[in-house]
Amino acid sequence: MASTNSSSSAILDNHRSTHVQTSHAYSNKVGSIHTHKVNVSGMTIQIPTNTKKAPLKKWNDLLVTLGIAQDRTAFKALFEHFSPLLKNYFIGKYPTQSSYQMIEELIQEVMIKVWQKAASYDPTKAAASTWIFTLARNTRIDMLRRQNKYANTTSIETEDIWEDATENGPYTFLTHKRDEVLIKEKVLLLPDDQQTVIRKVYMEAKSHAEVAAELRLPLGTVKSRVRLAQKKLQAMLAETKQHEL
Amino acid sequence: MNTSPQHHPDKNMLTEFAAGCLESAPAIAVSTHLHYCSHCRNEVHKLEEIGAALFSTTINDDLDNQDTELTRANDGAFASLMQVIDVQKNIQQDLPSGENTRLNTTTLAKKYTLLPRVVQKMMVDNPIQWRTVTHNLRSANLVAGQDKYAVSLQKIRSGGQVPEHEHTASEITVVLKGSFSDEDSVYQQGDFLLKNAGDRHQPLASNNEDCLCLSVEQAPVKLTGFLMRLLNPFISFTPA
Repeated sequence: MASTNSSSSAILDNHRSTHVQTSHAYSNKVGSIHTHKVNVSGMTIQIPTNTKKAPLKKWNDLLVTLGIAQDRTAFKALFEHFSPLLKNYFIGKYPTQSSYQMIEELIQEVMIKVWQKAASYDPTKAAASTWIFTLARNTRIDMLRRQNKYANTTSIETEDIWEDATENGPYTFLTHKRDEVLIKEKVLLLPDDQQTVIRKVYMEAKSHAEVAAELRLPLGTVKSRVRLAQKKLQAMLAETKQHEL
Repeated sequence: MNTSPQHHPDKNMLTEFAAGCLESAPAIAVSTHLHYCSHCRNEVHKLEEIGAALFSTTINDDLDNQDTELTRANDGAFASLMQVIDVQKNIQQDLPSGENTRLNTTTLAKKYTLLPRVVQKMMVDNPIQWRTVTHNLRSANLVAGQDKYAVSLQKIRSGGQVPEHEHTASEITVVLKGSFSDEDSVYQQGDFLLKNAGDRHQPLASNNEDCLCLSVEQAPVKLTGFLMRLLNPFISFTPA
């Protein structure tokens, strides 16, 4: 299921250098993952086309491949995985049926950014899911800022305030074979009250004060639930990172 | 490393920033702090990872079912996406390289070019007009494209003391240049200070240079009447 560490460093090197030396960016021992071969300046890259239940690192590799080769098969695999997640994300903020058309446009906007910015994606700084999450978040903020009647009084762009995850991320970031299924299980293991609150903050774009008002809870309770959920999720993320080493 | 900031936004504010639900004016203050603070940049990155974990975990399991109908719908959406991308590519080839996002810093005095990009943009968008608040304090309104907060530059004369004042609404101050102190602490470049309504303090700039700060002040809620304005020279709320 997992590709080897040496293949992961190979693709990083490829990303950085035009002197491509490795012929296999992906290990051949990828088990049930079907692959598709692309040619990048004389080098063959294998791209998994069966994307279910693969390690998260695969998305990083696909993004890197997209950045190097503008490969449409890689892009399609990313699209198929991320567009339902993006839809779910934007529904959080715009839950009504009448927003359907706008949500489709927002998804398209994010995926266009993925295509355009893939070359600047740096897998040593952020996981693909984190990077795409920040693109989606910034697209949502763009949308809200455009709706403000004062929006055209400033030349400030959303990215001047909220940078993409890889622009300023830590250099020592380690994300390789984090298992998607494992992360999902851990998120779903959070107590309901914590999960509700942290989802409202991240997925529905509600401030702590707004969540407190909606759920009729004291602000302090909301803040402490968010912090508890963060602590658990952060411990979980650290744990999955250690498994990778 | 005595220059790295010692005063940070609290974790809840960083969370709202990372989640994208912080309003743009306080977000500008947080972003300005991040420019100087690698510790908080790391923190925000970790909070974005949490966002990514939630983003990747849908409650609705229907999304996981890759049935053929969904795949066909996907194929259509993907085809139209590629069409848009191809059209844009052709348009872009006809245009000179994307100059619109480049900030023209030549209009800025050289001493400001090390400021965070977002602050520079506000300084370029409109001419800086300094207004004398007290002998030691000058202020210049900035335009941030919203109407809920007054965003401004504040300059305290070196060695100058600002009269003790009570905050009528919450105000974020981020030090851009120089330093100042109050009863509680010393604030240096990048330091982030949140004062809530009712807090009092009496800032004093250090002797060696003027202290330049970014201020983001919430609209005062209860304040009405010009008498308060006469009593307190700090009340000149101009949201922009």
